[in-house]
Order: sequence, then structure tokens, then C-alpha cells
Amino acid sequence: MSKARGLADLGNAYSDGALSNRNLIINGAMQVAQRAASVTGSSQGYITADRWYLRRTSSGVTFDSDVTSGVLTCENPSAATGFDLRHGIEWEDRFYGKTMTLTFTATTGSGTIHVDASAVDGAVSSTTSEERCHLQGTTTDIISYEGSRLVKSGDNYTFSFDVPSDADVSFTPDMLRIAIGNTSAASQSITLANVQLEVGDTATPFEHRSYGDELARCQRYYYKKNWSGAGTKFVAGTVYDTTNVVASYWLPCAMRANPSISYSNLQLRIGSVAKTISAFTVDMTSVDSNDVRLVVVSSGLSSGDGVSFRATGTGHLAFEAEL
Amino acid sequence: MDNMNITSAHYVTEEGSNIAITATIDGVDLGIPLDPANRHYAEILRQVDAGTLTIQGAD
Repeated sequence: MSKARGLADLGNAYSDGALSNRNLIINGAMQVAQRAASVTGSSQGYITADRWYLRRTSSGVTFDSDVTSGVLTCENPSAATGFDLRHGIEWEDRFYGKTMTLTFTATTGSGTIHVDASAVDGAVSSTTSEERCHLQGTTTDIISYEGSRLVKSGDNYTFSFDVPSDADVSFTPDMLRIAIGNTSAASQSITLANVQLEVGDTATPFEHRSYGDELARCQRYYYKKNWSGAGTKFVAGTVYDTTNVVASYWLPCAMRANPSISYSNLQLRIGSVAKTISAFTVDMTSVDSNDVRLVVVSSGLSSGDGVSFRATGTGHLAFEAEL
Repeated sequence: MDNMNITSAHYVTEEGSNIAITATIDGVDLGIPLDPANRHYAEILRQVDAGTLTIQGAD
């Protein structure tokens, strides 16, 4: 094969979106929703689509969210508000000074779509320090930008920007945070799909990944084990003293940080005897490993007894290490 | 900034040492490791520093 033919074939593969690992966004196709596919009356947080932190811009407002056929929707606010859909990408120093291009498909119930991009120290929801990215080739900060550089074609948007240089950032960033939102209005709504962020000033076709690939990426930040109905038993552990139980649990992958744990409809069992769980957490030595040590606090225990966990109804055990 | 609504926070102890915190955050009961990279623990620290939250001793 000639070099010219090879380049032509590569160009065709590029045009068809066949080249992989371009998209820095996880779950940009809104395929994964471990928490719930549909939630009503939410305020803010990681609610439906994995990796997407959903905010309303007016405090005290509640709204509905769902994920259907690859489209994330926020709608039916209890009062006038805008929406602000945020995504944090774990910081890498290679981002400093880079031009990046964001593409997405969005609709807004009223008004216009705007974008934000920043290097952030803190959490997606709570910023300790922030250095805003700039319009490409300028020093103009991006703040709820909706001008002509946000190129719209139908419901498809393209936006190129520059990440601040190392010299311009006075803190160690935790993430590159992008946000897509709209302005405040009564009955406001927003939909979002096919979000892609890639290095460079060229928007390439959306990179389609398999559900399994996206799920594995999401589970670095959130993992939820569900069960249906009572009776499911899992995880064996040992009573450590009169109040504490230790147990090992294998996660699908090592999480970003030591995870927070939530659960529902779960009890501790010693043989067939049920014990109430008063605290459920993970040991600090677990980070960088998918073999986590759970610490469960109860009462009236006897050191050395074996324990199991039993579902008392439809419920879950969830591990969260989101940005 | 979105403040998490933290309505309770108690230490979890093991062999006399604090190893974690249980807290209700935005209506969800959570077991939270003492890891500054954990966003819930970072927010607890922030609210403690701001004087708006006190972590109680173990129940």
C-alpha cells in the first residue's frame, strides 16, 4: 500500500469517527445511569446520568431529570431557573496551555445555551480556586459564554478554547471542569447529548464507545450494587470487637479516592440473627485498590463471630468517589 | 458555590481512633472516609473551618 493510500484510508477512518480515545468526557453519550434513569423533585447533584452533576441556578428550586435514548433532560422546575450541567475531568498537567474543542447537541426550553470551562481546585459543585479558560487565541475569560465563538448548527454546538498555562494557574488543579447551561426562565428545560471534548482546535466526529466501556470508566467514580427484594446475601466478614465488623469487598475497579458509602434495606446477620447497622464505611487503606475493607458498626457483637449481609427489601450498596 | 446540606456528622471509631464519619448530606446517609480527596469529607472540613458544622463524637 502506498503512503498516499494509507493516509487516505486513515482520513476516511477519521471522518467516520473510527479513531478512538479522543473524547475526554466520560459518558458523553449518556449511556450509563447507575443511580437512576429518571428522578423527580431533585435539587442538585449527581442524579441521573453518570459523571454529570446537575445544577439549577436558582436556589430552592426542584426539577425532574431523566436519561432516555442517550439524551439527558432536566425539566419541570418548581420555579424560574436556569440549568448548569457540569462535568469534571481529572486534571492532567498535559492540559496546561492546550487548545481544546467541545462539541455537543443541546436544546433549551427558552433563551440560549452557554458554556463554561475552568481549571478548578475543589469539587465540581464547590470551587476552592478557579482559573477560567480563554476564548481560543485570546486572553478573554470564558464566563457563561454564548457569543459567536460558540458555533451553532441546528442543535449541534462547537466551541474551541484555551486552557490556562501552568504559569497562569496559582494552585494545583483537581480537574478541568466544563459546564453547559441556559438562562433562567419559568418552565425552563435543557437537553444534552453526544458531548465530546478533545485536544486541538478541530472537532472530529463523535466517538461512540460500547456501554461496557463507558460503564467501566464511570465505575472509577461511582459503583452501585442493586438487589431486588429481600433475602439476597453477600459479603462475609468477621466481628472485630463488640461493636465493629470488618469485611472485604471487591469493586469492579480501583476508585479515584476512598469512596463514601450509602446503602438501603440491608442488615447485618450473625447466623440467622439480625443486627442493626449503625454505621457503614470504608477503611482508608483502600484507595488505589479494588479490594476495599468495609467497617460496619453495630452493637452487642462477639469477637470472632462470622457475619454476612442480607437484603431486607429492594435496595442497594453504593460507593461514590466523584470529583 | 453549592453548599452541601449536612444535617448531622458523627465520627466512627475503631480501637479508640477516628477512622470515618457518618453524615446525612442532602438527605442521604453516608459513611465517609477521612480522605481529603473525597468530596464529602472535603466539604465537611470546609464547613467545620467556616464554623457552620461540628462533628460529633461516636454514637
